[in-house]
Amino acid sequence: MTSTNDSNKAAPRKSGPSRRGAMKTIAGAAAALVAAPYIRPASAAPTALRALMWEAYAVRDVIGAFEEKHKVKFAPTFFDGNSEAYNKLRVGGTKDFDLVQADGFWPSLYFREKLIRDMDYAKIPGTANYFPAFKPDAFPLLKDETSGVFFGVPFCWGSYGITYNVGEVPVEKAKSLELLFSPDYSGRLATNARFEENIALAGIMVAHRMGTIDKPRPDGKSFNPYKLTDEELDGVEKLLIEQKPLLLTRYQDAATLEQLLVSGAIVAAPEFAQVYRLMLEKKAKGELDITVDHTLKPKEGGLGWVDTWLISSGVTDAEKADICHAFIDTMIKPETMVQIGKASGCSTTIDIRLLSSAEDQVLYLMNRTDELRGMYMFDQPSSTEKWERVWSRVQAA
Amino acid sequence: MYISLQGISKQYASVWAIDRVNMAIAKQEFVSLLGPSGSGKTTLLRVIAGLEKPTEGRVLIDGQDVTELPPHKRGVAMVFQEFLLFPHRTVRENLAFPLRMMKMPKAEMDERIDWALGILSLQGLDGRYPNQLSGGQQQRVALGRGLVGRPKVLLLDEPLANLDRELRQEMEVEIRRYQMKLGIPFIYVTHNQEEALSMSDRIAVVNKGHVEDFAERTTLYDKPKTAFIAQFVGRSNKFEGKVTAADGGSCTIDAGGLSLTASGNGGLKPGDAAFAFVKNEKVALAPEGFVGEDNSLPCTVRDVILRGAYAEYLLETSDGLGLVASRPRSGEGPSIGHAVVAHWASGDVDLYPVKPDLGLRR
Amino acid sequence: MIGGLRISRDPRAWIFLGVPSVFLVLLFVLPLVSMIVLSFWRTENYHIIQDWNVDNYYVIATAGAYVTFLIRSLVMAVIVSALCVAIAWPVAYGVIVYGGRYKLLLSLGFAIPFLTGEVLRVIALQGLLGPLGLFNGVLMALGAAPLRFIMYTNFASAIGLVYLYLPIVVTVIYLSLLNFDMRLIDAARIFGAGPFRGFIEVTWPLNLFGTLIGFALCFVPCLSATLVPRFLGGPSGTLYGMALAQQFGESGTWALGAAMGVVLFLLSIAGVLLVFRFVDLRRSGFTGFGRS
Repeated sequence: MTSTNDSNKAAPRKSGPSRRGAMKTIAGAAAALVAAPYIRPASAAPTALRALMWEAYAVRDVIGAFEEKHKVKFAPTFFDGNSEAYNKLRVGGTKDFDLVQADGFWPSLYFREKLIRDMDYAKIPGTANYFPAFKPDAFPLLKDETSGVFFGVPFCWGSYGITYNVGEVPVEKAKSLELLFSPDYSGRLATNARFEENIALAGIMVAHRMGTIDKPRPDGKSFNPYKLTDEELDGVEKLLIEQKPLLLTRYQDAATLEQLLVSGAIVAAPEFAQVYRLMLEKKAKGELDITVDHTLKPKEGGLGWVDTWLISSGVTDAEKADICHAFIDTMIKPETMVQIGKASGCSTTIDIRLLSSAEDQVLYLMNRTDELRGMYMFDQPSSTEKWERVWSRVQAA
Repeated sequence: MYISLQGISKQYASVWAIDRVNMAIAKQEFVSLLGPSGSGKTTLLRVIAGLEKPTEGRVLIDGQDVTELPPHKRGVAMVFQEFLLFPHRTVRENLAFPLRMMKMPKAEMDERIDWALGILSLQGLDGRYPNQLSGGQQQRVALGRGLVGRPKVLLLDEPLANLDRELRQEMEVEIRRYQMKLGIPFIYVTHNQEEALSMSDRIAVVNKGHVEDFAERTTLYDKPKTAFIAQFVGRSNKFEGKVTAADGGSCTIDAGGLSLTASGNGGLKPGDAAFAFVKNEKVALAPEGFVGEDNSLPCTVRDVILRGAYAEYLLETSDGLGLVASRPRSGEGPSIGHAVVAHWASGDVDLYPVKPDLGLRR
Repeated sequence: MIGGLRISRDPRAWIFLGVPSVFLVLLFVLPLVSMIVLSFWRTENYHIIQDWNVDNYYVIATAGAYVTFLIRSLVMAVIVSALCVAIAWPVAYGVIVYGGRYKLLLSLGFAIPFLTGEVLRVIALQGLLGPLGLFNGVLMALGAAPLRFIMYTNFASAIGLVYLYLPIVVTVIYLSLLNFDMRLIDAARIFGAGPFRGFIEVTWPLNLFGTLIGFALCFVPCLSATLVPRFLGGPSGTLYGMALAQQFGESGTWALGAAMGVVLFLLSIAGVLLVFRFVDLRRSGFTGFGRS
């Protein structure tokens, strides 16, 4: 991982120290200036608990009760993607935020870059209620391998599976990623507009076809669709270009996807299972004729994510850390999680089956948490520059 | 007749802006349409131009009924009050416009434009844009654009209203000269009686949508046909009163205690309400104690206004009645505060019956 | 004719010119400079690296994709702007001529769409053109196949852009016509021009400047349009502005995005200059030169 400071070291050392210093100041000022329009610092108040989080999880009642109890003001800032949150943190955001959310492999990146600090599970009794798959010992994503400390707690989870129209697509076909690249459904498919998931999903498909998915990887680790070889990337580019004429569109939001599925304009699309849930609920109320199902993990492999709560490395005093821990504990209480699940349409990592109806257990995939184990977690692309180029070429083709 | 307006009426909403106007204009005539603002004179001009369609009536130009023709097929040209030169065209291009529309060959076009530039003394300005010209120069270009295409008739809509007095008088003479030179009718709309009197052969006085009179300028001035004309044309003293005695040869009116004698009775009978007008220049002044002629009135000079060759004396009777007398400035006149006798001949009194004002036809 | 640039010594002149200048520097020049600086740096996995290079420009010029986006955008902007002008003219003219006492009301009506956000309008349009929208919803209810060409295509983007920018163009042309002395048309008619000829000779040239401003106010935002292609354009509808926004958004390749922005900025300026190079202001009745 190259940081700003590393690159300064790599710069030519010929120029004298004073000039270098000046250049550095100018560059620093320029960087601040350049970054300024894209970064909104949160105002710091001593009695405030400041969080950088997904908007869907900000449930008013829960937060209000917490504010009341701990006499603090909860000040959330919302983000739209991991990269946005990452950037906010990197440009001094650790001083602006106490609590942070991230998913997939991003927390470990944050920890490596010292953007977040370690956490004490003992101070979060709610962690006892996790589904087996998310128990600290079973879920290695939030544990530092070398020091063994934990730096995050799981919150909600989901996949990027395939929602499909049961009337149009046979179940057998829907179990494979091939469905998304099948000319049989030309013009009746759609995908998300995000470039990471498009490339990663195609990456799984390509690596599967090339047979490289099970072979030893250049980095010595197991296959990760966010770390593709150049050959695989070439294949992804070709595959995505082939896929283009099959797509009606790349949807921007869940509402659009729902409209596309409900109208029958498309028969299948990869998504975060939100629309699947919405449509099932409507079906149950008799508002909908179309039946959809959701393939959580296609047979070639699937993408998954686990949202987490993290504590910013800016939190140094014990008192503040305690409030952070208390907040997280409040958020993962089973009663809270039921509310959040309903509000956000996400599955929870806390076992709330005792509090949920049989329908909800199906709807929120409560008996399918084990399937997440085999999924590839959301991650940062190995080179956003390379991936961007691929994505641009696909769009321009 | 060369131009003939037959029963022209124009209705806007519920109001008749022009009401049954009939006029006949000869080929070499300079005709003015004189009237106050809102009288309908400009509307009448626009009807002739074809910019407005009459609600009733026909317009004939050179024997052809053009009522249904659009303006560009009537062979008319127009000079507008605000000049309305094309701001994006040079003087030469403005002058060329009517000729281009006629598809005139280039050589002939240049000849015509040079001719127009010549008679209007615009040589050397042909490359300028309108906003680089003075008001007088713009006026000349507007006139030139009207004349260059040799129209059948030139319509002028208060073309001198935006010029200062001196320039206006200069232009009056010039416009009259062009008209005589070209031998086409000019129809000139104005609210300024001096302009109308100085240039026109005949003047049509327009009031409330109809023509009060259409007559030679001297007739119009000397023998105004209606009270409106008597008031609007020239400067007059106006009296309102009742006829006390009338016979075939003369008539006596009592106007607020003042007794006026007029020759002729204007069809009035004793007891009728009447207006009497005496032109300012017909009122003579004599020293105190003078008695004579038909009407004489002792007054005091309140003020004297110099008008160059003549002076206006603002007079006041002992009853507080105001009068104006215009006299040529030969020798010493009476000065302010002097007692004088104002007197005039009975033949100089114009009498009209008082009619109810009907306003515009609805 | 133009008496050189002379600024009065009057201190008030400095205030009147100085305040806008400061604003311009703060809100326009500084961001632009920061953009230019950034375009000569590079990014690596969400990090800005300050080593000076021209790679971003090289990538834009040679990678193909970006040039494709640019050409798509140019074609789109030209077509949309021309369409807007063609629609706006009769609308604005009609309001001026027939608007009567409702003229002001109608002209204010053009501004109503500006009261809602652009995002809202685009999403509304996406609904309208989408599979359950007004057109296709009706068609499908009647048992017909939906019109695929208005769903997620460049055609849909064009409709969206016309819809977004038409009010601006109408307003600008309306204002131009409002300042235009309609009696000049009378003059043209009197001097032999029929309605069409009068339009060509007088109305059009004297409103050309306003029309070009309207065209430019449509063209430039079309060139950088982000939302419309995103929501309406479909898989092959990526336009330059949308690709540019991606650099700053999800992919975090800000330096490349900055270079794309600089290219767009230069291109917009060049386009506007080119247009005005061929327009003689005097020929459009522009009188701002004063008399001489």
